[in-house]
Amino acid sequence: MKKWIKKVLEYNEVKLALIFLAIVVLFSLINPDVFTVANLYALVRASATNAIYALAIMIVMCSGAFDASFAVIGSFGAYVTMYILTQNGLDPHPAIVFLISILICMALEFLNWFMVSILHLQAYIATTGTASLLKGAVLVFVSTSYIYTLPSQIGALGKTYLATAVYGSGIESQLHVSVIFIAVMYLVMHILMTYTNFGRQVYAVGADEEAAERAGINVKRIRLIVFLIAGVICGVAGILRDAVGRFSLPNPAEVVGKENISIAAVILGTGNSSKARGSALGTLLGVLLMSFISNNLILIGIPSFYVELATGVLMYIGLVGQMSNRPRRHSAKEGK
Amino acid sequence: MSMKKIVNIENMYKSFFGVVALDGMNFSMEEGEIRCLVGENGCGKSTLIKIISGFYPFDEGKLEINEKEYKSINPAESIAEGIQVIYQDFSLFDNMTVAENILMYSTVAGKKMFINNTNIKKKAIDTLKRINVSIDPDAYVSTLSVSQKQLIAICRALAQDCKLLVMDEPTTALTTHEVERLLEIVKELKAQGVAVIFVSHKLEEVLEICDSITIMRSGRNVYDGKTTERILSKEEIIYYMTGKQFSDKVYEFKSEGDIPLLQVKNYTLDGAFEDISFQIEKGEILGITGILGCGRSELAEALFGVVPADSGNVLIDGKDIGIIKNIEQAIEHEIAYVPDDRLTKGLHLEQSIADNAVIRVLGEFASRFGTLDKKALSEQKTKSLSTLSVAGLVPDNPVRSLSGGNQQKICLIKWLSTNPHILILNCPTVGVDVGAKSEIHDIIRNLARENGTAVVVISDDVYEIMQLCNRVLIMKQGRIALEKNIADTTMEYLEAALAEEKTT
Ligand SMILES: Nc1ncnc2c1ncn2[C@@H]1O[C@H](COP(=O)(O)OP(=O)(O)OP(=O)(O)O)[C@@H](O)[C@H]1O
Ligand SMILES: [Mg+2]
Repeated sequence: MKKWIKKVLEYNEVKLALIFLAIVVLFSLINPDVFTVANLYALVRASATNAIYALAIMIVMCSGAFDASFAVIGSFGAYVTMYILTQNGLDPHPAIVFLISILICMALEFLNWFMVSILHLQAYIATTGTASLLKGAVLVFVSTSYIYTLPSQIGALGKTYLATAVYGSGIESQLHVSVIFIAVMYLVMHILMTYTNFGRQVYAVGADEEAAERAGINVKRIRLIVFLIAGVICGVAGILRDAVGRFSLPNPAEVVGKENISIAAVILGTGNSSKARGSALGTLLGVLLMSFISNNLILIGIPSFYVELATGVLMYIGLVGQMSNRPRRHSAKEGK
Repeated sequence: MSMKKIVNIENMYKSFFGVVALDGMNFSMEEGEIRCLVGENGCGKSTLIKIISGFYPFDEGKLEINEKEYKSINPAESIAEGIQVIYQDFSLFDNMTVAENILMYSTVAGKKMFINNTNIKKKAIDTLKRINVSIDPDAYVSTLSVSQKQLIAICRALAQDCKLLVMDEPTTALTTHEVERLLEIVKELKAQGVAVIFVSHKLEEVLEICDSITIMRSGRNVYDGKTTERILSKEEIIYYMTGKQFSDKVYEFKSEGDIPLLQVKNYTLDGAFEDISFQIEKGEILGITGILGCGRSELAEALFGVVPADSGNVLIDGKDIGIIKNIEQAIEHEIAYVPDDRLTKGLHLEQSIADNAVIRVLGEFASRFGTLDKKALSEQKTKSLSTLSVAGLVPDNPVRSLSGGNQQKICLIKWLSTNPHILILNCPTVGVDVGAKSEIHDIIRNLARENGTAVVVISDDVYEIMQLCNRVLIMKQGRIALEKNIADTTMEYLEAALAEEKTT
C-alpha cells in the first residue's frame, strides 16, 4: 500500500494536483467565495488565453527548442487579421477569422523554425529577434491605433457564454465559451503527445537530437511540424484574446509579460525530475495553479501587485518540491 | 562462387575539419558472418560504423549495402536495409521508459500514426527476457546505471529484425556473466543468418566469437582474414594494431610499516554494502572486484562522498574523520575519484580538450584576485596532455570530437593532474585499447611507486587486477568475501572465486 502511494507520488502531475488542491483549500478557508462555481467561471475566463498559449510553448519545449515570440506572434496575427477585416468592412464567420490568423502565425513560426533548424541559431536568441521584429513591423507597416470595434460575428463570440452563476455577494459570473476551446485543444494535445508516433518522436528529439537522428527520425521535419503546430495554437489564442478583451492591440506590449505565466506553467507542469518531459496534463495543472493564485489573491485580501511576487515564490516552491523526485544514482537492486 | 555481400566499402575517405578518420578504408561483410573490428582508440572504427548507419556522409569512396550502391544514405534508409547499430554512447532517450526506448526504432520505422503502449511494453518484456535481464520496463532510463543502459541499448537493437547487427563496444560496462550471455546471443543470431560486426578492445572476447577479423590502423585496413584459415594470437593482433610489442609486468609493493594512509571501518550503506573494513598503505594498489550489484561502485562513491555511507568510519593517516559526508570533504583530504560513467558524466563535452584536462587544478593557477596565470596554465595543459598519447588530439578542439576511448583518457588525465594522496579509479581502462591500457597501467604504477599515492582500482577485469594491483578484495552481496595478495594467488583462482559467487 505504502509502495503504491510512493509510486503515484513520483508523478509530477500528482504532486502538482495536490499542491493545487492544498492552495484551493487554504484560500477558501480565508474567503468562502473562492470555492464557488462563480469563481470557477471567472478562473476560466481569466486563464483562457494563457492556457492556450502554454500549449504552444509546451510542444516547442518538448522538442528541445524554445520560443520567446509565441505571445507576440499570436497578438500580431490577430491584429493583422482584425486590421484587414475592419479596413475592408468584412465580417466573416468566426472560423474564417481564426483561419486567417492561424495562417499568419504559421508563417511566422515557420520563420522561427528556419532560423533554429536550418541556420542553427540559438533558439532563445533567434525567437527573441522575431519578437522585436514583429513589434516594430506592426507599428511601421500596419497601424498604430487600437481597434475597438471588432467585426460583429467574432465580437459576438467574445460575448458567448454557456452558463451563469452567482457569488455569495450577488455578483454574477459567466462561463465563457473559450472553455470549449481549452478542453478540445488540451485533449488533442494530450492524444498527440501520448498516443501518436509523432509525439514520441518529439520527445526523442527533445531528449537528444543526435540519438534521434540515429533512430531514423527526421529531426528537421519533426521540428518543422512542432513549430507549425505552435503557429496554429498562437493563431487561435490571439483571436480568442481579442474577442474576450473586445479590442485588438497594435503593440502587444500589454500582453507581453503575461507570457511569463504560460512559460512558468509549462515549467511547473514539466517538473525537473527524471521523468520530466512535458505533458498536456501537467501544463494544464500548471496554468490552473498560476491563474488561480493571480486571480484570487485579491479575494483573500492581498493587493494585486503582489501577484508577480507570489508567482515567483510559487515557482521556486514548485520546483524545489519536485527535486525530491530525483533518483538516487545506482540502485543496488539489479543483477542478483 | 561467393556469398552475398551485405556491406562492401572500397577506398573510403572521411575527415573532420582536417582530422583524417578514414584514409582509404576497405571493408566487406558477408551474410551470416561475425566479423570483429579492432584497432587503437581513434583509428576510425566508430566513424566507419556511423557511415554504414547513415549518420555521417562520406567524403569519397564506394558504399554498397545489400549489393546496391549508395552515393549517400540516411539513418532511416540504413535501418530499412536491415542494419541495426548499438552505439558506443548508447544513444538512449533519458526522458523515456525502458520499454519506450527498446521499441523506439521499430516505432519510428513502423510509420504508424498511433502507437500501442500496451504492445510496446509486451514486446519490450519479451526482449528483456531474451537476454535474461530483469530491469523494470517502466523505469525511466535516466534512473539506470551504466551497465543497465548498455543492456537496454542491446535490447533495442535486438527488438528489431535485422540482417546486420553492428555492436560498437557493446560489453564495456557488462560483467563476465552478461558478456557470456551476449556472446551466446550473437551466436544464435548467426545461426539465424544475421551478420554481426563486433567492435571491442577485449581481445579474449574477440577471439572467442569471430569468424573473421579486420584490424584497422590510422583509418586503414591493415589486416583482413578469416579465423578459420589462420588464427591470430593476441600478440599478433596487438602488433598489427600498434606496430609495437608489449610485455606484461607485475606490480610489487614492499610495506614500510607506516600507519595506513586510509583505513575504512565497518562502512555500511543500507541496500548497497555492509560492514566493509579494509586498509591501504602509501604506495599500495588495491583492487576491488565482484559481480555487478555487489556494491563495489557504491562503495567507491561512498568513499568520495557522492552518496555517503550510513555508518562506519574512515581514518586518514590514522586520524578518525567519521563518515565522508560530501565530495568537498573528500577533496579536502586529497581523495580523487574517477567515475565509471566517464562517457556521459566525466567531461564537459563542448569545452576544449586542454581545458578539460586542467579543470581540476584550475584553482592552483588563480591569483588572490581570481585572475588566472595564463602562461603557467598553458604549460600545465601541455604537461598534462603529454602524459598519455591521444590520437586526433588538437588541444583546442572540443572533447566531443575525440573517439570514445580517447575521451576516457582525457578524463583520467584530468584527475591524474591533481596529484591526489588517495586515488579511487572505477573501471579505469574500460573501452581503452591495449596499448593505452598498458600506458595507463604504467602511469598508475608510477604514481603509486614514485609519489606514494594509495590507489584503489575497481575493476571486473581479473587480468587487469593481476597486472596492476598488489592486493585484491572480492565483494559479494555488499560484503567482502575474500582478500588476497596478488603474489599469493593466480588468475584461475580469482576467476573461480568470482564464478562461485554467481551461483549463490
Ligand atoms: N565529430 C567529429 N569531429 C571531429 N573529429 C572527429 C569526430 N568524430 C571522430 N573524429 C576523429 O576521427 C578519428 C576516429 O574516431 P573514431 O571515433 O572513429 O575512433 P574509434 O576507432 O571508434 O576509437 P575508440 O576505440 O576510442 O572508440 C579520431 O581521431 C577522432 O578524433
Ligand atoms: Mg569508437
